[in-house]
Amino acid sequence: MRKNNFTGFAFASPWIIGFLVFTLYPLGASLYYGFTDFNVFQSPNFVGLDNYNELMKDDLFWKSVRNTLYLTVISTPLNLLFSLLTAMLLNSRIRGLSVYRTVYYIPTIIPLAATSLLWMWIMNAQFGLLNAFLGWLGLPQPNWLADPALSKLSLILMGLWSVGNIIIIFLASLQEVPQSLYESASIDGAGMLRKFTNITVPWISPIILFQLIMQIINNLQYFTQAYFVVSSTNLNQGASGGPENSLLVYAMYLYHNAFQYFKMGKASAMAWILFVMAGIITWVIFKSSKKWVTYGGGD
Amino acid sequence: MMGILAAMVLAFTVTACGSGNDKATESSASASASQPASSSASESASPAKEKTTVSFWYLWGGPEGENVEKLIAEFNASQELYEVKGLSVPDVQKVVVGISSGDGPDITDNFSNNTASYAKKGMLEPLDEYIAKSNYDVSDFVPAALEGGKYQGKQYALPINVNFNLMFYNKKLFADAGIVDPPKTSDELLADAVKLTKVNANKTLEVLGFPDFPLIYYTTGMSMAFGGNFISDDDKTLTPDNPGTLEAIKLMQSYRNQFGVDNITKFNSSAKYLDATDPFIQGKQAIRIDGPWFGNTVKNVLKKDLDYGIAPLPGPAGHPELAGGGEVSSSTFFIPSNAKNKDGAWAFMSWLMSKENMTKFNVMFANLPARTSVYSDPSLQTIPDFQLFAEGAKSPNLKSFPVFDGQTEYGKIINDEFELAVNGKQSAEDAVKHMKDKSANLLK
Repeated sequence: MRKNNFTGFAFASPWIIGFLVFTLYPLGASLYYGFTDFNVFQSPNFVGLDNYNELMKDDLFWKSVRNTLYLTVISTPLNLLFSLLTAMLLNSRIRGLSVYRTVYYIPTIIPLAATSLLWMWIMNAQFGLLNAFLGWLGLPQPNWLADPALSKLSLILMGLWSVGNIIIIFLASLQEVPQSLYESASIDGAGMLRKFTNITVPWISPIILFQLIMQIINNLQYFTQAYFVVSSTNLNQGASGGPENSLLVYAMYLYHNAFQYFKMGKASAMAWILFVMAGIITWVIFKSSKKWVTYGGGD
Repeated sequence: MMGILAAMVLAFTVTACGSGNDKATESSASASASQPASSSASESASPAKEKTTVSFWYLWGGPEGENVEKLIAEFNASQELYEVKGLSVPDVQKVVVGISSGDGPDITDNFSNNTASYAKKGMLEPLDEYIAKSNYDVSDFVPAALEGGKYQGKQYALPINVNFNLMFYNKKLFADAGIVDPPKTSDELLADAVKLTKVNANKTLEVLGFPDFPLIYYTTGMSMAFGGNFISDDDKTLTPDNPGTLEAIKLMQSYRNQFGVDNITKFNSSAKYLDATDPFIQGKQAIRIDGPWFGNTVKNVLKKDLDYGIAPLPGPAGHPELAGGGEVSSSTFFIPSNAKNKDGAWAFMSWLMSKENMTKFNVMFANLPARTSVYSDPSLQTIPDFQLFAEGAKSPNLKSFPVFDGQTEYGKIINDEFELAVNGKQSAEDAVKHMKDKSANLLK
């Protein structure tokens, strides 16, 4: 029996070693570095809670928190709603359905860098497609990516384009909803909306919960698109946060601290604050989910 | 658990040996015999000493990287002690992480504005001893550029070029607006810029008259051209609230107020720097602040026929003694303090920084060499506008951004507050006050 255990561990050892060396150790190390003054090059110097105190007084830290919350609060429900509606359209019986499904998924395959560059051209204030169209309609032509009041909304619009992954999971779950439920609801005289709120939503609510949590975590870690927009519209690639720091998201400020200012301690502290916040938010959602998520076959 | 693992590893080795047994014994035999064999071989073949490797990571890529490789090949052919191996690593972070892990290069390039930060962290090998030991002559370097490689009195990096900006202006647009001479002072700059600006029907800009794009070349550069200095003369106090910065902000505010901040940020955000759609190259920007590489890009890379003139940056009104000012920086080379082959690195650095090779390097990159004594070299005259920049380099009013550990953050604070002010979110006075307050603790 013991011998079997050893063999089992031996076979699992690639993962165990990988987890210990590449996940658990860095995690522990970053927790420790969060309490040190560490510049990557010299050995870390224990400073207690200094990094955390400094962050609380740091205007740019709070700016990055606000920017990230703005993105999360607006983008998460918008993405979920848009994806669910699209998934429902793609779940209906229309001609050329497989073509539509493919078309909606394609943007997800394109690398984020390419997506960002493409959208930066579309949203170009003077020569972009979007403003040319708005101008043709006689509407105002905003300065999408360079106006501090609009830059985050522009990124959210960009993000809506590549929600293929969310759509596909919703689509799969929609196909799981038994047709018999809809049929009996029809017999009882339920309309489209009633069927949606009383059958579809409860049935796929575990999937909505999963997508909600994933989206929130993704948005809290938002980095790539903002980084591309900032670094290609600004020659000062150093520590720029976009127009008036409006695109300085949390992960970007963390990156600046780590690799522009070489303040690894402060960056590690930021990473842990984010980790704990994401944990708390997830926990709260899980708690609330008992009220709105139905698991089939339950009581 | 360890026992099982060990047994598995052993089993693998045994099976591996089973298939290639002969080879394995052969190689181990030759390994054990190699020591005496090679020493006897080198004795018989006399001075053919093994070249030691010098690892050189450079930030250039593409055609510029190929140029660097040409110079490396020349160095390797020139002597018998060292073999430089070049590697293009166009990401500063990677270089820093490489050095911090102890697996970094023996020599690499960087920028003068990082010298202090790196030196303070103990990343850089001081070069003074090497310079003294090999009696290396650095007397003809541009002083401000040499200064950019120093930290607390020690030389940690050597500059290969001098970067500073001059004012480029579109001669046709100037002639159309009836302007004969390029502006020499801040007042003239604003007056000319207004005349040169052309507005579309929807109020957006067709031609940008003011050197508003790229903003990054305006902020600290024009502050210094207007006589500002970002640190006190005794290097003890940061002075972002200097009169030059105030004047630079106010001047841009006046221009932007006249044509609308929105219209100008629209223009700027739509413009792409140094590609075929660059507004100056398209004839849609009348005045541009840019560096020695600009003419080369226009004429030799993009092959555009553009009639432009070059003049010193405008100075503050009423202070002719401050004319010709601006901000200087350099591309530098340094040896990491944990380099494995420091002597080899110095051999390569001193070779590259010699008059002859520094000239070659700068001809390839269309830059201004850090040694002024080579400025009459005929090969440099092929670089567009070379003499104008060589002349500009002599100005005593060129300054460098303060060299200290927190200078990246200092630069960020200045740029952020500057941007808020020229976007109409705060007054120039408030902007410099905020710069001063926020940077108060940086110079520890």
